[in-house]
Amino acid sequence: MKALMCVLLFFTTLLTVSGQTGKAPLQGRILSAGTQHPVEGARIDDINGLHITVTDNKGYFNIAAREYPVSLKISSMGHRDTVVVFDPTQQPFTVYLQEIINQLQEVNIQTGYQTLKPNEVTGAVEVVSKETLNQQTGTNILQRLNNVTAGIRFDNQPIVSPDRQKLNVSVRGLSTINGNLDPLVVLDGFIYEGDINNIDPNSIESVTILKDAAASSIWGARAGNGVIVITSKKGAFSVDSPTSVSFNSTMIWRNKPDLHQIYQLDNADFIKTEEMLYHNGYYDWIVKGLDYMAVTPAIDIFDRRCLGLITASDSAAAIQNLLLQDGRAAYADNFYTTPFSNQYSLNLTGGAQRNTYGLSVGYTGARNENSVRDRKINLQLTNSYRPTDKLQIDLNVLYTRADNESGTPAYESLSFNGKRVPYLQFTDQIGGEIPFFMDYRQLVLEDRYASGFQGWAYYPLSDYRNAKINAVRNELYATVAVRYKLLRMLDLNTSVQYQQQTVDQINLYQQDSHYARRYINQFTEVDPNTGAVKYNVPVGGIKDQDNARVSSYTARSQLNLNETRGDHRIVGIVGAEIRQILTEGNSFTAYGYNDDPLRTAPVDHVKTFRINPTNQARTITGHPLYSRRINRFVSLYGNGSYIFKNRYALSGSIRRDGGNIFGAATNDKWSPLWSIGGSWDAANEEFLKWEFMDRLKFRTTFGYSGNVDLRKTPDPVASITTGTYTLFPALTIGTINDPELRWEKISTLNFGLDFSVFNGRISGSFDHYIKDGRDLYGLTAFDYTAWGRQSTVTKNVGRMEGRGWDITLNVKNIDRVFKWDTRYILNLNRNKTVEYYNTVNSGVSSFLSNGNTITPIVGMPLNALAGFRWLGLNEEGDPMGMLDGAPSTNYIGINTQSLYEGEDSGSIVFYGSAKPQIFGSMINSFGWKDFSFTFNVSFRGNYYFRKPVTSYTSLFSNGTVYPDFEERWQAPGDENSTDVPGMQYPLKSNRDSFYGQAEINIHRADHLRLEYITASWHKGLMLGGKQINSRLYGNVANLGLLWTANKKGIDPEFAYRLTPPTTFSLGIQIDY
Amino acid sequence: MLMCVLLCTLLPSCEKYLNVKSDARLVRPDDLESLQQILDASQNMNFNICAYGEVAADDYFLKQASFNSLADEQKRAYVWENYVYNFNNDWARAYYTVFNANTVLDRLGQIERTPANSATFDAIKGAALYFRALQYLSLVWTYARAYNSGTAEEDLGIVLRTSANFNDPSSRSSVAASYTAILADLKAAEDLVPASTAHVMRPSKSAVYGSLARTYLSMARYDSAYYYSNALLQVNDQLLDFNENDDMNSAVTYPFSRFNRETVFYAELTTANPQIGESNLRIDTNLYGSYSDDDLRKVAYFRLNTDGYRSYRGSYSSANRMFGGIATNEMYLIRAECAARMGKAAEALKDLNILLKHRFRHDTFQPLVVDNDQEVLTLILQERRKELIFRGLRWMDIKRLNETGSSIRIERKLEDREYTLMPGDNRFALPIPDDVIKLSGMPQNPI
Repeated sequence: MKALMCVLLFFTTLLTVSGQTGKAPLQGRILSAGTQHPVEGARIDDINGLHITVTDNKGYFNIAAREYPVSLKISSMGHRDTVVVFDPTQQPFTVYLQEIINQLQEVNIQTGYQTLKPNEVTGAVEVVSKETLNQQTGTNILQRLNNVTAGIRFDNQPIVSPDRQKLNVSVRGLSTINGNLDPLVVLDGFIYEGDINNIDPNSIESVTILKDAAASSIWGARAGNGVIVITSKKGAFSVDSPTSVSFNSTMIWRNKPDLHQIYQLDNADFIKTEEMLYHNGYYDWIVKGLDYMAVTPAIDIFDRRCLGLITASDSAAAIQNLLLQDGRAAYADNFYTTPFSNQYSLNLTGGAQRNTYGLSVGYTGARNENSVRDRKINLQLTNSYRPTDKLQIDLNVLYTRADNESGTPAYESLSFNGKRVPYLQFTDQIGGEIPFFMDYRQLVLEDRYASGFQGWAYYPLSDYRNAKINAVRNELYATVAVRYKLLRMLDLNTSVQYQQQTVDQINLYQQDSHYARRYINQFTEVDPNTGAVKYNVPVGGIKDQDNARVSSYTARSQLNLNETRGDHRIVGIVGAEIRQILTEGNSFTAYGYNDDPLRTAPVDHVKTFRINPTNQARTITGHPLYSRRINRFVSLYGNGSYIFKNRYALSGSIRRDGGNIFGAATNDKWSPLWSIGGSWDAANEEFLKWEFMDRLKFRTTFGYSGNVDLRKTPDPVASITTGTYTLFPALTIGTINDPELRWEKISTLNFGLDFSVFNGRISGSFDHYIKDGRDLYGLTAFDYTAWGRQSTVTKNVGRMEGRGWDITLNVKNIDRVFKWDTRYILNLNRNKTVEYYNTVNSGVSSFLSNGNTITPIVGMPLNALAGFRWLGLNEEGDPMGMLDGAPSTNYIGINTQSLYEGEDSGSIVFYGSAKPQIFGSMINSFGWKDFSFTFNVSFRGNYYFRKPVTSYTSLFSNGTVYPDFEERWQAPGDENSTDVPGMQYPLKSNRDSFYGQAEINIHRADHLRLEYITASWHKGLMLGGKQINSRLYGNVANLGLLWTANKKGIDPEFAYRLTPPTTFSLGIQIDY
Repeated sequence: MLMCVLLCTLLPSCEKYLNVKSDARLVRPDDLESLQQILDASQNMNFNICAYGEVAADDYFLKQASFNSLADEQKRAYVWENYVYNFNNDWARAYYTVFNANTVLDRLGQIERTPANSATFDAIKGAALYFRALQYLSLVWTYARAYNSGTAEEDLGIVLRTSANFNDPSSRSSVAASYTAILADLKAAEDLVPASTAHVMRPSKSAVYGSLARTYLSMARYDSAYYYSNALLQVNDQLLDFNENDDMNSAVTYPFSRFNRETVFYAELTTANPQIGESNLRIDTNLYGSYSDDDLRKVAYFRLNTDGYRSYRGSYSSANRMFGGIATNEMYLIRAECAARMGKAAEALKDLNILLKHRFRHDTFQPLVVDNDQEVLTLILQERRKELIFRGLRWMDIKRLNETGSSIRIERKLEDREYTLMPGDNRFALPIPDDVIKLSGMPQNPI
């Protein structure tokens, strides 16, 4: 339709212009380069800035210059300023203005399979522009979506099950219970299997998020968690577009972590506790039993004194010395550096009528607080050729190399037999390094394992220089696409993508490293009579090598239909693709390794040795291991939209996947995933022609997408073993999968509304969705007469439901020289388990953990919290719960009763979701002349968190303690003023866990957070007749909490953990 | 057009393209070698003979303290009231073996039998059939009534699974159909397995004879039982002589060496029933008293505990695991019993004396002399119980003997109560796990 109009207008222009003669005013026309729409009101000045004219509503302008050719400067809102040379011999004269894209509705929507215009889409789709992505400065492209897009939530809690989750991002909440949790990431039209950190954010043009089934079902069986489509920068075909160059440099500093956020006891309290434990026999199992196990320095002093190895005054002096130490400060001084990264990128794009090209080079260097170094180089080449009007060939090659080198030991790693102490000391009075004995005890080692052994000491200040972990990632991502115009409205598009990512990790422990010395020592045998030494692990370095490779290809053939007849318009695709993902890995360890001269030594991986000093039976690890996995898919798909009068649209899609992870029973069944949708653009209706309404579009869709677990197999899984007694090689079928196992199926019903009023003064969108995850993987009881090894098997049995709203509202509060825009993003998401089989427990007592693990209990949210009823402390400082309606300290009884009777027991109280059910952000942007300023405040609410509290068991065993310790019950009467149980030894069983899981520690987690502030200065300059746009920008991120619902001011997402450090960035961007 | 060509060429090759294994480390058992390896996993194939019958039978008792230490369902099993119990259990273990056998049989169907591979092919197929039959026989003895030709068509039998397909529903066959299936498997195996195998863990022709003899004996078809026990003894009639320290030594903890001369096919009962675990099981005092002092089994089979009662140590597993395979001593007793029942008392007595000669002290042993057929049979049945203790046979023996005129009843004495299981009680068909009944909808054994 539009194209037709353009053609018509083009001819009209021609006729008009050819009618002109002599010195009469000559006409030109200004069109938008992307949309080809006429640009109205574009200002035309001469090169000295003298105003000449503006374009009319069809984009025409007339000039009558004294002489030709003449240079004109053209400027228009939403477009780049352009200088052209007006030459009357070139007729017709048309200028294409490059748009500055920041309004969503002007952006094309990339589904990965096709590029659609907004009015061709019925589904819930969000396009995040380059400008929005640039509001944040991180080196991870996905992180830049955080808090600026509706429906996406980044979780601050650590990933619980890394085998089914890598990204820690969810689109519209959960869709699965036991399946894969990550959204599908698509780069330039193909599934991206690599490490997301390999993508250079500076080379990305836009990101499109496909949220509902109508949008995502085209991606079929892997789209159930939503799809994130990333599109890289490319040149554009145009009449004449000179090479545009874009240079970007960003420097990022972060604050050093503040270790004082991790609560620790002061030295005196800590040592007093240790002394109490020692004298009460807590350490007897070590000092009088497994005496080779390490103990903390204080315990070592007490024990040496007890054994008479040191005098009372030595002991007192040693303890006095420990009391003076400040371990956290000493650690920070000795190990922390200011984290710093820098990013550089250079993009060249350009195009002519027959070809376009793009080249980008990026470099990212980073060093974290522990001096862990990352270096990354990105190279990207995009080329398109149009040898004829009918044929277009696109070539896209992306290469990434990233190097990572380990740094100094992490604070958490410095512990003695698993116990952290506050009085760490790294150097003595004269500056000498103090050795650590963290796993075995010096006293015993020096007595029994000295002669013939390597030193056992660990020197944290220097050891990391001898133990380096280096990882190198190499990635190649290449696509070739050939598009041929078969008919006027029909294209054939055949494309091939190949991706290969290798990760080569080398852990090299030099001979002097503690790791190598300890490993050699463990396997050293010294003859007690002769003193002869046998090194079963040869003296030398140890080198672990681990290589992993993921390579995938996709071949796709697709027909694109694009036809307009009168009021009718059809856009559609139909295609087929095959895809293979091959994952290979191998690893081995070399012993006796030395770099120069290069050598290794053989070891016996078969024999079992008794290792020193524990006497455990061990073999020498590290024999070569290989793995190989292949996943293959064959897919057929189609998608079509019918648009009538540019107002009414109907869309439908269908896709069928087959894969080698499904059994024949599933592959043979024709059960495609499909979607339908409709939309109505009411603003264009004659009968609704409200003056203020620019846009009013209603959308509704319904459809299915899938979610697969690539680890599943239809075959029974046999593992190699040997027959008992016979030792014949044998096979055990230890796992079977339901041969009818199929992908999880998620249906989404979506209602959407897009609107814009008063010339875009207020615009936004509302989406309401209902997700129904069916056929979810779940363990289910089955008639084990079929296979008696287990009583449950994974079948498609679970069901969950998610409901929510995604709301975006953009308001131009002030739109003059001073501009103030506010963007509101609000998400509501609730989910619950609808059907699930639980073997053991199906009550709320499953929610006594931290709420971070998905726990399917029918009728309940997937992540939730419950707590024990709390009746205060008794006069002995013991916490009291409710058992059979009366206060009780029978914690096991309370636990059992709440397990069996749930909330009916009165012992346990259910609170609610442990994940935000309302979240969003408010982004305020201010602009004045060339300056702009943006800040983002995020909100998360309607959920709960469990405040970590002191567990004396943990304090005794690993030194972990929380600030409530200071308020602990200490003497009768304290129970009236505190809820923190008193310290006890020995502890009543389950007392700690009862207190930790009690309701008093569950708090509302609602909070407001200042995410980032960005300021930038934008300046357009003319240099040698060329427009140069430069942008200077600064960003401060992770500014911390503004408000939190809990009274103690605890950050609910990082309770007593290190919060993400405040990050400062400074950058410059130059485009010309 | 192009699209059509593409699709047409794509679709047929699709299946091949998708047939690649998703993880190279997974073993897809589809060649003869890996099928043999499934059968060679003795822990899965040979060690799942049901012990639940021994738990319910009368060769042992539990002291009150031992009883108290058991879980509820284990207590209920001891007094035949185990109506509700769930995974894990003998039913599950037995059907795991059946699944493995069926997997082998299913996969063999996709392998072509050629002159080159026929010997291996047949041995594997025969072995799979044998393992399935062995397990079915153990199941039908445990979970069904004794074979009664009058009611066998109606009596509830076991689940006969004909493929490894996990989604096939389970249903209970009749006792008659169960025995028919067992005999069919065994007779098919008879023609397929080799006369001798690399190990007694793998079934040989003799093993098939032994199982056929057992099957027919439990069906009271004595002529056939005689035929097959005789066929086995024609191949191997060796017995251990308890007077000699060859393959047995009463001085050590477990006197019998594993894979001794009598063992024709090696199998073990399941081990997860603590009632008959070494620390709880105490030999019925009447049974122990029935061994004469000259009977070397009295020492070889039993150990005196500090509490004054005996526990069992006579397994051919050379460990505290109960032997449940085929051995020549059982065959002597089957041949003798059948001969006696067929009116060949002299022949029967001869077999019995051969056996007893190997069991009693040589210096005092006097061969038994009886001329009354019925008395010979009684002697044989007494010796059968004493010889084949904890072999997984007693529960079936009680049932079948009660079916043919005996009236063996079992009594359990506990502090607060005594329990008796009378001949003909429905509970001789032990209950199937409750979760299986609920999930499959199959009928439970009547109480």
